[in-house]
Amino acid sequence: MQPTVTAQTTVEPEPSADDQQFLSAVSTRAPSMRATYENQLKAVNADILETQAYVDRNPRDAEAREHLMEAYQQKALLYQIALDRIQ
Amino acid sequence: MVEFRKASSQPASIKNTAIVTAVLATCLSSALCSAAFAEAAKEFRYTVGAHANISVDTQYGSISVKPGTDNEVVVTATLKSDNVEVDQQQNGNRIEIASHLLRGTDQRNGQVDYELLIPPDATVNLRSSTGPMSAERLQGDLTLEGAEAAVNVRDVENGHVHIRTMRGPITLTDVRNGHVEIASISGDVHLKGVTGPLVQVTSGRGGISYDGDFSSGGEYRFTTHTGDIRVLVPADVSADFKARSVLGRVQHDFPLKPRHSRFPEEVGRSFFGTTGQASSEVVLRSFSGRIRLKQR
Repeated sequence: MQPTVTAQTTVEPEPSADDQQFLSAVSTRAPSMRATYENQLKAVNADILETQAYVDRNPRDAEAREHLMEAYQQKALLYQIALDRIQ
Repeated sequence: MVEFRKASSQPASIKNTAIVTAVLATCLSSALCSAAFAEAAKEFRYTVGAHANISVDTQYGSISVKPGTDNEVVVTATLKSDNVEVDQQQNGNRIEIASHLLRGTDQRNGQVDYELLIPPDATVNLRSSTGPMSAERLQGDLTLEGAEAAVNVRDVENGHVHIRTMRGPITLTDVRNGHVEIASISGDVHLKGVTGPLVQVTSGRGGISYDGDFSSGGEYRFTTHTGDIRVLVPADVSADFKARSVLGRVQHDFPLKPRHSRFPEEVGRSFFGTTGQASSEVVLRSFSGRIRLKQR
């Protein structure tokens, strides 16, 4: 089965409540880093959204599902790096 | 442990007590005080046994680690202001060094640069937000973590090398027989002459480049989300290649022997095949980045 490929668009996902809490912690403890972490978070969220959309269109693509899981792992890594640094 | 204060701290123009008093009186804010502070270097020495465990944690500043003698650790810390202190302790074979930021400290006045000479077999844990961090000619396990820190590891063998960064570039050169695991969110990763039983690299938006021979009969797994993967290998490489980019393009210039794969091969999106005795397994995966395998 050929995968369904559609034109890629730039999607600006809304930050979740967890994201807002995370950014709030960064703002409080490391205000100079807020913009950096916010940009990285936006990028990771956009990757998750893009991959999720592809998986929804191509549910039998096991490799794409692995990429989706890895995109979430990237987000977890970002949280970890930030929280390690701002304690 | 012996501590030496190597250098400090007063501008040459301050020559008498009256002037010092006047300057101190005007240094009401910490910013003004730190402006009057020149760099200070502190040296710490520790005697250790085999396989010592050494940790350095700094918010701002570089860390450089090189081999010294077999039973001594020498740490030179260069402080950029008196808004930051160095906390250090030794418990048996374990040494912990950390920058301690005082209130109101920022990147400009909180920087401490560390240079370490350590036994080559020591286990090393380094953390710095800004970096850069470097380690060379060592044989113990290395863990390096940073946010924006550039990481450079060179001429290392027989150890585990674990690296995590947010967006700092990572370069490994001549890492042999290593168990290498690298994770970056958007930093580029460059590997040259890196071999071992496991070499695993994940970068979301950063690119991955590999220049080497995939020897050691190891497992090499490179994954990106949007970053490109570029691999340069000799014609006589012995490997089993699997490459796929879900939305990007793949390209190779090898006469690969076909092999069975659980994924159907899509021209331009994936390739699978072996060269030589297929002694190492090489998996190249990207969601939308390009993948290129090229003969040297």
